[in-house]
Amino acid sequence: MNAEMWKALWLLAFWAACVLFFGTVLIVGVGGMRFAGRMLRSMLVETGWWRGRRRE
Amino acid sequence: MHLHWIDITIVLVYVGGTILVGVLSRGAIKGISDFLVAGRSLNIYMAVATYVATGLGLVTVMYFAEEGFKNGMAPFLVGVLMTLVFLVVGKTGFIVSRLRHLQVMTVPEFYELKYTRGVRLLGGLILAVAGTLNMGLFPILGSRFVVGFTGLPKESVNYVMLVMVAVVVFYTLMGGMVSVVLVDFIQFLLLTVGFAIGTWAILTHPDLGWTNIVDSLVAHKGPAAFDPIANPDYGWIFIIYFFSVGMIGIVWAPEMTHVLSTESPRVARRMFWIQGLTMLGRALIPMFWGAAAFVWVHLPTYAGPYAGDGRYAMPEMISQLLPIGVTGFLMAGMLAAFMSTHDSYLLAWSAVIVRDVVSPIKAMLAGSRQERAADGTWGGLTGEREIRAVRIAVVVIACFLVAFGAFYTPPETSMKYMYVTGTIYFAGCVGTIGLGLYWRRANTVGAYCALVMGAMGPIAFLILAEMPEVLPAHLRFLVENSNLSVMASLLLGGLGMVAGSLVSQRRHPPRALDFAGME
Repeated sequence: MNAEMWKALWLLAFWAACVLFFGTVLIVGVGGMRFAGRMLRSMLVETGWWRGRRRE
Repeated sequence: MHLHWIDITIVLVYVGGTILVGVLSRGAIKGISDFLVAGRSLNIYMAVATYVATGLGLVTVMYFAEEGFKNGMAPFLVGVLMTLVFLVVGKTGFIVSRLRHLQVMTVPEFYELKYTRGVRLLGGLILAVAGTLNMGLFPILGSRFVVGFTGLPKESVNYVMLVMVAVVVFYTLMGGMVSVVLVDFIQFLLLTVGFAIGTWAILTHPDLGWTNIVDSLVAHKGPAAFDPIANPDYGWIFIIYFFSVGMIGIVWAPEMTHVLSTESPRVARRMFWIQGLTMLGRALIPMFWGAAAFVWVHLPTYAGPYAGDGRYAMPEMISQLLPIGVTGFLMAGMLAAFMSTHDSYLLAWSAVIVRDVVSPIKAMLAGSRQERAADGTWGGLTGEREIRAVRIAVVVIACFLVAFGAFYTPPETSMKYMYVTGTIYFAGCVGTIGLGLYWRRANTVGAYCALVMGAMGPIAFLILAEMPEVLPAHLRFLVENSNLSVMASLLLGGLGMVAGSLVSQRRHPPRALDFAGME
């Protein structure tokens, strides 16, 4: 491969990297919010900072 | 120091909030299992988020940026190879599925299941040495970011490092894996926003942007800035080594801890291929920042002190590109990245030292039976004592890291140092784990041979690189570049298992593992 081909490849790779990275983060971030909220609430209940049903 | 008070406030609010989460989650710990692997309760989204947050530390950003500063866009190939590895593992479940099915908490625990307590002890020792050495540069890289970014005097780098490590140790001790998971998720989101803002700022700056960066790299570095095969730091041996070590490197303890936290082997596989989609960005974006920093310090208008120093140039550039407020936000995100990686790594190596070195020694001395108890321990320390010992180990390792970072200078780039030290462990894993999980003849003797032979190459390289004059002149090429040493050690790790097992099959019959019913 010559230098011009490598430059074109890296330009493509860079944009693919941005799309894949930020796109995946968006999906994972939204999906994880609910689970994180449940985990935080559970911790607050366990430690007595929030009134709620405690796990036995 | 050139940080505005608004930026400082944003950073302090974030750090304070993180500590609060650590304190809150302390009450939620129930036993060593909860402490180390969040009670195996992570769903796929949290698993991916925390996995990415752990692997993408500020350290990763700094060492990839250093590669980009030194070698332009040629190291982009590293990101491509990493993506390929994760997609292959995610689709095939290579190693990942089988380890999760066996329900071990650490990789050396697998050694006790498949081989003997002695192999677990040796494997644990090698892993502890490799992991601790590998982590040796983490705090100093993080503190260089803070110094370059804030404009603090270069002489303050060691004091900054001390403060950063103290904060991480504090909330790691507070909650173990439970606090790690929650904090990692928040940090994952914050870091991504930081990546987006920084990249946008570089692409839209009138003196930077893609075209200017490419032209400047061509002018200063020539074809080696784009061609990884022609670049003397890489080449074909590096490419083969990097792909191979990537395939076995998935067993790296801190990241594997997250895999072992998933609901099932199926979720573990999905986690790999989903977060494999982020691997390209995790490597290329910081490398791009580093290449941009090289161009930045070569602009006629540049008057700063870091023209030849890729370790400080990138954070200095980023801090000057961003407006007030956004700077604080990005710094909070980068500190988040620093803390999420450090707490996971500190816990992982502490767990290895306690469960895979100290506890087996105690079990051997007590003559305990080699089987797993109901509380997840193996006849050495009790669960409660293990938790206490892990906390002590966290503090001891942290002290070592501060001292190491202050005094050691690696022979090549930081990224190469990470892979050499990681290979001390990975090379043996080619045999003990790769062949141990898939070759029914893998036995204890083979495991010992794999561990010892695999570790020799990288350790020899690190020692001899400090004193190349002891080697005859015609052999000094072996320590000028690590590529040959690390590639050879991977081969020796596999060869050790094969040779050792074949010559001792009768006297040491292999232990069979049951994968029936695996998802």
